[in-house]
Amino acid sequence: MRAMRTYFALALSDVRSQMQHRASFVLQTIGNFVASLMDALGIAALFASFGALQGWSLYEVAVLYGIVNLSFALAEALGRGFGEFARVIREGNFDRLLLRPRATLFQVLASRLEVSRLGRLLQGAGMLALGLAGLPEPLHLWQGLLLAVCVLGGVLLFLGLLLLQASACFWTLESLEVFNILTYGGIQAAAYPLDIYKKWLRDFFLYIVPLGSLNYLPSAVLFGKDLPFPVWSAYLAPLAGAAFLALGILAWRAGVRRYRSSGS
Amino acid sequence: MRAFLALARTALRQQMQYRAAALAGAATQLAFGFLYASVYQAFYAGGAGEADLTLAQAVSYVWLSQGTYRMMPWSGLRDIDAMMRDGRIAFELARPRALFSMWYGRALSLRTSPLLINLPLLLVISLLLPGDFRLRLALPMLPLGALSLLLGMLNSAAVTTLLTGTYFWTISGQGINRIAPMIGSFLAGNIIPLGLLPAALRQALRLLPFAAMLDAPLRILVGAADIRAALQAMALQILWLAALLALGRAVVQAGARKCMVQGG
Repeated sequence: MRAMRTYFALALSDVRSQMQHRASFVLQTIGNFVASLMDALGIAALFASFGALQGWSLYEVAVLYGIVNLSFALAEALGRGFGEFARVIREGNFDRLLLRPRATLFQVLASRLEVSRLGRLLQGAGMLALGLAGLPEPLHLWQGLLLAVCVLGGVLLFLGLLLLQASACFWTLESLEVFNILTYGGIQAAAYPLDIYKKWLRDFFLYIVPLGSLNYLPSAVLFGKDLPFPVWSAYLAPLAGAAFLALGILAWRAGVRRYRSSGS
Repeated sequence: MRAFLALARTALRQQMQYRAAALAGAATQLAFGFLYASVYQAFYAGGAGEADLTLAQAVSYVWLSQGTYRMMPWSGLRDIDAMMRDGRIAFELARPRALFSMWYGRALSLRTSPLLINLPLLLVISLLLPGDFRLRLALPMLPLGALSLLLGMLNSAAVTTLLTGTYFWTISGQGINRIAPMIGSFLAGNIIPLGLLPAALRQALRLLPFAAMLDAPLRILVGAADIRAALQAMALQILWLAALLALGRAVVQAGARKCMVQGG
C-alpha cells in the first residue's frame, strides 16, 4: 500500500512536469497516434486489395493488432524509465538510486509515466474495438475476460523486454539497438496471425519472445481456427508474459550486483 | 557548385563516423524486410487481388524500400531549428551563398550519405537470400531505374529543404514537421508498396510528389513498369522536382526576409 502511494506520488509528479509543456505533449501524443495509425491503415489497405489472409478476416487481424499495440502502449508508458536507463548509467546517476531506501527497480519504474503514449493506446484500443465489433457473433463475458488477461500479459511481456534492454546497460553502458528489433519487430510480426510465417519465425515468437502466446493463440481459439496445440494452452498462454517479466527482473538483479559506477 | 560539393562531402564524412549505428539500422531493416515479405507471401497465397505487382516484384520492392529507408525526408535539417531558437541563424544568413542552395546541398547529403553503407549491404544480402525471399532486379531497366532513383533523392532533398524553411515560422522542429513525414512515407510506398493498394487509391497516390520520391524508382527497378510507364513516371518526377525546388526557394527566401534576430 505504501509502495503504491509512493509510486503515484512520484509518477504523478513526472506527469505534472510533462504537462508544463502542453503543446509539446499534445504534438507528441498526436505523433504517437499517427505513427501507429499508418500501420493500421496499411493493414486495412492490404485487406481492401487482397480480400483475406489465409482464412483470417480484417476484423480478426484487427483484434491481434489491437492487443499487441494496446499492451505495448501501456508498457511503454509505465516503463519509460527503463527505456531511458542508459543515460542514468552513463551519467553515474545510478549511485543516487542505490543510496535511497527503496528498491532500484521500483525507483526507475516510478521515475517516469509517459502520457504521450496515449496516442498509440487510443489507436490500439480503437482497432481492438473495431475488430470485436466486426466479429460475426459477440463475445461471451469469459471471452472478453480472456482478452483482458491477454492485454495484461502483453504489458508484462513488453515490460520484461524493456527491463532486459535496461539491464543490458549494466554491461554495455549504452542502449542496445538490437532490442528495438525485438520490440518493434515483434509488434509488426504479432499484428498478423503467426501461422503465416515460416516455422522458425513462428516458434521464435511463441517460445523465445512469446508475443504470439498473448494474442495469436487465444484469438485463434476464440475465432475457432485450427491450432497445433490443445485448446487449454490458449488459456495458460498469457502466463508467458509474467514468466518473461520474471526473466527481466532476474537480469536486472544480476546487473545491479555487477554494477560499477562510471564515476562521472 | 564547388561550395555545394564541398558541403556535401563534409556531411558525407560526418555520416561515416556512425558505422555502428548504420549496421544496427541495416539489421533492423533486414528484420523488417523479412516480416513484410512474409506477410505479402501470405496475402498472395490467396491470389493477387487488385495488386499490380507480382509476388516476386513485391518482395524485391520491400528490399529496395528497406535499403533506401533513410532516404525519405524524415525531418528538416536537424541543427537549423535549434539555430532558429538561439539566434545562431544569423551566421547562416551571413554566409556568402544563397541560403537555399546551401541548405539544399546539406539536405542532399543528409538523404544520400546514410545509403552509402545501408543500401549496398542490404542489396548484397537480399540478392543472396534463398528463393522466394530473393531480391530480383529487372536488369534491362537498371539504367532508367538508377536515374529515377537519383531523381527520387533530389525530390526527397527538396522536401527536406522545404521542411527546414518552415522552421522560420514554427521555430521548433516538432509538430507538423514530425507528423507530416510519417504520413508522407505511407503515401510514398515506404510502409506498403503502392502497387499493393486498391487500384483507385494507388492511381491517385502515384500522381503525388511522395510517389516521385520512392514508388517511381522502385517500380522501375523491380520491373513493374515498361519503358513507356517508366518514362512517364520520370517525367512526373522532374515536374515535381521543379515545383518543389521553386516552392522551397520561395519559402526559404520569405522566411529569411521576415526573420528577425534579436541582440546577442
